[in-house]
Amino acid sequence: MKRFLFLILLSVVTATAAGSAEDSSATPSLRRSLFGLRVTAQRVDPVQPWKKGPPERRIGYSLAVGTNVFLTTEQLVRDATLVEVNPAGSARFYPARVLRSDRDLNLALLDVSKAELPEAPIPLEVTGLPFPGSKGTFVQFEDGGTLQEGDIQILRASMESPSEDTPALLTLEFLAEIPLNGQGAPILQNGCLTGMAASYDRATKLGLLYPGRSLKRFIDDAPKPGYQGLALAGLAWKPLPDPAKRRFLLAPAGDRGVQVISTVKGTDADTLFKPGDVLTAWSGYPIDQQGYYADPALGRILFPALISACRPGDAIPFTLLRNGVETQALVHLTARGALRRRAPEHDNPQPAYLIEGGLVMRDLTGDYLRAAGTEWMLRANSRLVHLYLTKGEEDAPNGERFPILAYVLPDTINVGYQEFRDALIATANGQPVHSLKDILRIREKDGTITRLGLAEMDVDLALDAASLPAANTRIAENYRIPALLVPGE
Amino acid sequence: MQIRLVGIVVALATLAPVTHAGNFGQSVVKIAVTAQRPDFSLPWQDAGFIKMGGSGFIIQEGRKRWILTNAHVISDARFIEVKREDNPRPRRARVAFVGHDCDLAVLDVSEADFWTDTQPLPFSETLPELDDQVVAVGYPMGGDRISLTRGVVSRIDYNVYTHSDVDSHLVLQVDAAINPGNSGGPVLYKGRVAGVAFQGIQQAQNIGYAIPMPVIRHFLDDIADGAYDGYPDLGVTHLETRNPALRQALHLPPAKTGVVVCKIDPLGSAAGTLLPGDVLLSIDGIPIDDAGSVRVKGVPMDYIELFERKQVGQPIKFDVWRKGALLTLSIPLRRPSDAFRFRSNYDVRPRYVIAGGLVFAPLTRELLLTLAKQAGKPDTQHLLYDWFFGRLDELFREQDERVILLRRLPHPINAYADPFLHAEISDVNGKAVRNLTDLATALREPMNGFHVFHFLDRKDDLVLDAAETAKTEPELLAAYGVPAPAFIGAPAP
Repeated sequence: MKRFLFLILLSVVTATAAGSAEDSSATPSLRRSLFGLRVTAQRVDPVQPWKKGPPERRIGYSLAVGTNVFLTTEQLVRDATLVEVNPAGSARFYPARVLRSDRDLNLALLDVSKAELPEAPIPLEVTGLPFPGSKGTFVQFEDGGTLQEGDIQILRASMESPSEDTPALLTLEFLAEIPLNGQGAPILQNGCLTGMAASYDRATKLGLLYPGRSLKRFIDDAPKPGYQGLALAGLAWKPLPDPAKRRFLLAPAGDRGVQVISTVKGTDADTLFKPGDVLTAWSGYPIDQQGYYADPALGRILFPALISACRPGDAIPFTLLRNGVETQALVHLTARGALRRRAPEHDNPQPAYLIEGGLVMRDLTGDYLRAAGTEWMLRANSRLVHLYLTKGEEDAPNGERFPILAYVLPDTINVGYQEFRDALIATANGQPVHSLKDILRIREKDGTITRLGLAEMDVDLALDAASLPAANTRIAENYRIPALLVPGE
Repeated sequence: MQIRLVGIVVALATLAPVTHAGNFGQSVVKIAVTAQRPDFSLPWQDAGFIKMGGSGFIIQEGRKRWILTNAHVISDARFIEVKREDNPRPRRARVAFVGHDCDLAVLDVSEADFWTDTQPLPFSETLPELDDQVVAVGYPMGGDRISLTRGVVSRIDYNVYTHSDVDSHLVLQVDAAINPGNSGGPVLYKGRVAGVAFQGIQQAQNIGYAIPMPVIRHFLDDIADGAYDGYPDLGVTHLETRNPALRQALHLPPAKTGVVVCKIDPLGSAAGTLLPGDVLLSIDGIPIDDAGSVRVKGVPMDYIELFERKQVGQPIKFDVWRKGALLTLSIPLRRPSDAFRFRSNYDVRPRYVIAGGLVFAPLTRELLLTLAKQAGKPDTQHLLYDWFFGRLDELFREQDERVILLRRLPHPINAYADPFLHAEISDVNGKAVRNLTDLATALREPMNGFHVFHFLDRKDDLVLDAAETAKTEPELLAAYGVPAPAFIGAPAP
């Protein structure tokens, strides 16, 4: 979904000139509910994780949704070093703190309790699900800080991913003649917050919003300890239109049912589904062969939209056919955040690493590979890309990862090894390792890492233990590395 | 850097200055070739005809005279003619031996009078040195007469031979103009053959490459028994031993130098003799330094270059430091295995199997080059992995070759197969597939009336109705002009 990123880059909300302006709109109370958002963010360099990139400025909106609690998108506050809110008609910015951000949901809650705002914010009532065909209003700042309203028409519901590395979310597409100028703008229907703008494309005049139902659940759950995030069914499926395959799988006559192709280990679904099962109903709704069901409010939409309304742990009734025999049962949803991938998409906010004798060690992540650019699948080490694509999603209940020797910072201590890069680490000091944490554990016990075994060869790289402390100091100074070890969270 | 072969078909360069000196008309021939490459993406048919040209020269091995030229000049040839400048009647020639890994070939002409008055060129017994003057002789584009260009040796190096795009051997870099059409012609040093002109660099001036005498000699010695075996493969990955801590870990005394064996290819010659952790101290009695170099007559070179001079069947001797003890090991050199090497293919007919309009074919370099453009997507990235790491990661343990779904010949029976394009077959109808022959065999026994294709690293299967597959085959093949549903042949050598 390019549109999501597009908006961040093109947001043109500007601070108002000094002094307040009169609102000419019919929503004067929103002056105390809608706040401008200014974020300064610095991304940690995924390849040299001791460095931060240049500060970048992002501008959008945040919405008062509770006492001193504001809602915005996660994309706006990602890697933030400073978050500030700006009341309508004011030139002042007040500091805010990220209370919770959820990359999967692209939502974040901000705490403004220390902001000393001139007027107490008025929380918006969040409710509902804008349905296709309905009309609503968005509100945003105009130049000068006055509030501007615009009409929108909800066109259709769909499942869209905010970014390449996150799952699809329930979103609604809308048409707005007046251009939206920032992420996080409120969508109102009957005076209630029924959605929040996630993106807008000025060329097509089309935007996407997150429905109030999803916002409400996040607002309610995110502040709680033990927040679990997005619910996950724990199964992968595919449409089943191929008549030969339907006959092979003994799928029902007609156009019902999709094919289960895999399950996620450690989930309830893993115990209930098998590859080749034909899933015919979910949460009481029949599913067609493309995976759609008829939602009373949203219309025809993919059945994972039903999951977006649920929480981890919820029990969902389903119907499947296995070898032509129908079964009905309940499956408990899993928290996506509870799953531990062997190669996670990212290791934020600060990737863990260890530099010993100039050997840069870390765990493989999607971010590390994507640092090779938009053509990362071509440019990055194809062995690591293959590992990531084929085994990255493997269940890692004990924190197993893919530890790699990312590269070598040349120094006299590592002469002869300086061409090694992007190599999977198999052992440290002669002991098998399955993550950087394992390496750190061995280092803590032994004091140093003096032997590193790589999966691609049968001889260990050796470092001179006596020279190592001086070499580490020299390397840190030479390459201006503030910390040779960052253990991560 | 893009290296080009210098057959006329890839003509890009400008006309070089020509100085005619000496009588090469009895020694250097012009070669005209009509070639036809197979179309690996439509493996049942060939691509269009190509008219190619190059040079060659008369050599004498024992009592037999041949024409020595480049393999790339005569690859996939359907018809070859050679012509002497002093006797311009073209004569039909045939390929007697070809070494695609070293880009050399010898041609024979059956008409006895062709050889009358020919003058074989003598071989130089020494490798020219840097700045030594050389003369390139041949028939570059732009005329029918012999052309001579002079220059000096500007580098002697170990480099990739672009004809196979995999093999590296010694090369002679010269600044004499080597232009399209020069391919296969001699590069002379003091009137003797020092090399065979064979490739240049696009967008670079005055950089041409010649195959030097050690490689030519290797080829000619190899074919002396009537068959070309190619270069043996030691199958060793090594690490230099410059690091003091590594030397200490290997218990290597300060006076000893060499490289440490860090991985052994089970298909290479060293398997079963050398072990990981062995330090190779010398090769055939010549000491190896801690960066892997040897000195031969004062000239530094990689120790692999010495190994290259050996023939399949000959032994090679290493002094080895193993666990604190000195050993001398003799390794018999085996024929190389091409498994997961992805060399360029020549003079072979592409293999394929078609079922239900789905074209399955072994993964080859030719297909990789075609599909690489699409390899930036998750469903084709595995091809890059196979290409770059297949041999190192020993994928030959699971399969002899990768068989991919190359293409779909659209028909209602296969309407849902596109998501599986370029995926690699793992098993068919419940039977493991190691090669194309296995696939063809597995298709003889459907599962419950269906053909079920399972692919590597894919969670979903492709299913065809077996009865419909058989029924639609004649119609499908006729519609797409496919002469036969399969060509299994033999795997590429």
